[in-house]
Amino acid sequence: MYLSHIEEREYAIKPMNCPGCMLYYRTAIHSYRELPLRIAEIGHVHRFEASGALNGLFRVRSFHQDDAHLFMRPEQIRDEINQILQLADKIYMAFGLPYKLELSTRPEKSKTIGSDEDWEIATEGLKGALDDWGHSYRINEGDGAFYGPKIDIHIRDAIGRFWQCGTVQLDMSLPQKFELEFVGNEGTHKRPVMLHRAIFGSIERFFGILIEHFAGKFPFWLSPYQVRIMTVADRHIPYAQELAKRIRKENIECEVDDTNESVGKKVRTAQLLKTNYMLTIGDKEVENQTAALRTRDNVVHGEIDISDFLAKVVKERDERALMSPFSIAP
Amino acid sequence: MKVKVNKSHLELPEGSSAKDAAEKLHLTAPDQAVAVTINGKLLDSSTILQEEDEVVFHNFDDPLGKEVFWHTSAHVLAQAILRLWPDAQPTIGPPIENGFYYDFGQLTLSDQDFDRLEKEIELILSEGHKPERIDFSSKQQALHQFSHNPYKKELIEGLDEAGPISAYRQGEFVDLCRGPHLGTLNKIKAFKILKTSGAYWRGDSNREMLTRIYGISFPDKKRLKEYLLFVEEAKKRDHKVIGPALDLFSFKEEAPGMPFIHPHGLTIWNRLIDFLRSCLKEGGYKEIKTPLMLSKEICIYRILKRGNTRSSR
Repeated sequence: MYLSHIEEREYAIKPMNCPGCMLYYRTAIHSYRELPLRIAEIGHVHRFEASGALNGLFRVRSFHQDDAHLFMRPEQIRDEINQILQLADKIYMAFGLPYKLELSTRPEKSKTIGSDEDWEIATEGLKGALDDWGHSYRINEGDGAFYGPKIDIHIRDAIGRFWQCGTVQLDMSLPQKFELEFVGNEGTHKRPVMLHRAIFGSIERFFGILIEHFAGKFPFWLSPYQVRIMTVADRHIPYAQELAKRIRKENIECEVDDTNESVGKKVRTAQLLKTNYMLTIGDKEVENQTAALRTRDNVVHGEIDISDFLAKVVKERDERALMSPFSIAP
Repeated sequence: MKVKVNKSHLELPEGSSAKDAAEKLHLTAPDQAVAVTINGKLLDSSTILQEEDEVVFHNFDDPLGKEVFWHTSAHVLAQAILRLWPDAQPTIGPPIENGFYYDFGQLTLSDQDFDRLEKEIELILSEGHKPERIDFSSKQQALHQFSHNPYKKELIEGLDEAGPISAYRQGEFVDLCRGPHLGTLNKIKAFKILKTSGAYWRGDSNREMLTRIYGISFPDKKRLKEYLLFVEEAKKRDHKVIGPALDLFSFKEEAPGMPFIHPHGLTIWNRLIDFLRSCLKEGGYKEIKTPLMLSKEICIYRILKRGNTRSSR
């Protein structure tokens, strides 16, 4: 943890987002009608890791969590967890990442807080949600935290490695510690159930996983090198610039390679950057107001109509397609 | 007598070992029954079974199987090192996620020595050793056995006087070890030395620098080949190489472990966040932003709870 001393008081750069969110919850009196309350924070956290343990984006000292804390009544646990599983499924599927689920139950009783009844309700809620969801899952008996049971989600990348990214943890400790309350329908004050959940986990680490999963060949919607325009000669530059403007207007990343290199060299540069679409501009293309298309899989498609091309790639982006509409299906 | 094996009953003659049970069940292939749990405890396959014992065999593909397989392989590595570099001092050699390592004092070797080392290992594996457990009756006896090795002596000194102190012998080689081990080295059919690095004794930068040797082993050649292909593929995808090559991010000596996200990297980052936010909106979440710095008391109440997570295969 990174500490600082300011005006006779010790401060820490937050290693987690939970305290901030608990303090936020306490700002107002919450009615049972407001629950479930789902509070997200893309929080920047810092944790000290020994320099020898650092490993690219996989293990860092400074990272962002896609954190959220959900406050609810006990009878809402099952449905809330089910919705979290749906959300996680939607997100992982967008990257083509299958996953496996693991439920960790109560550790040795003496090492936990909460009553038997609390644990029963919590564990049944998690288990019920997993059963409703219908995916198979593994149970790790006694592997939960001292403050509650949890579900871990391990994604599987393109070469079969598993990465634990998602987590849903029920917490019986924080609502107690921060004396969180809500007003029930009879006007009495009650303690809410609280869940932590993350789907990417650390965004930096998830970013690293995605780079390796796609081997740098990002699908169009994620790619930082979506389109690259390559001129054959200097006289093609004005049209290339005009075309780039038109493409960027669609909120598409587009760069122009107007260097004095040969087209062959420009293609190689674009390929090293894993550019999705390469557009070559020569005399014919300027005259016809078109471009010659080459895709990342190195297939030359020849002259294309710009409006057609834009319609296709905008659709590809908006649908977050994992396959190019130009690629020849295997 | 009757024992329970993998949840079904098995009738065995009195005095049968776990190994006998495995043979009766034809679990004899190199990748089968490489480890055994008896009444919840991981033990040697030579353990004599008792009436009503609950026995679970672990194949190589089971994490416990791998653990025993790779731990035994680490001993084979140390045995080969001592044959070739008799002055080397073995310290510790645990199994890890993919394979194992062994740390040695008084040893220098380079990649050029790998071939020679692998040949010696092959020779040891062909000698048909069956690791045997030695139980020391006292700390004194264990210290005597390892009197020539200061690292082992330090390890023994740190052990509980009451607890069992054991070693394993295979051929001329004896190593301090809790076990358990493979019943026979014949199960190890493929072996590869992967790399070497430096490591401090007991991970303490004030102590001696040791030579760490990483290796991996398998019950067949096919699994080794697949593993090496996998490593090759993973290397090609290494984000620490691709990231800078695509100008996505970098690290600076001035801020270790804190990435600088470059413009093209931030393009991806922002798309991830945009996608996430659209999902949150749909899911009925509200978003907040709380301070980066808070009072220490509120931050420390349980900092150790949710660590960074690691990958597994």
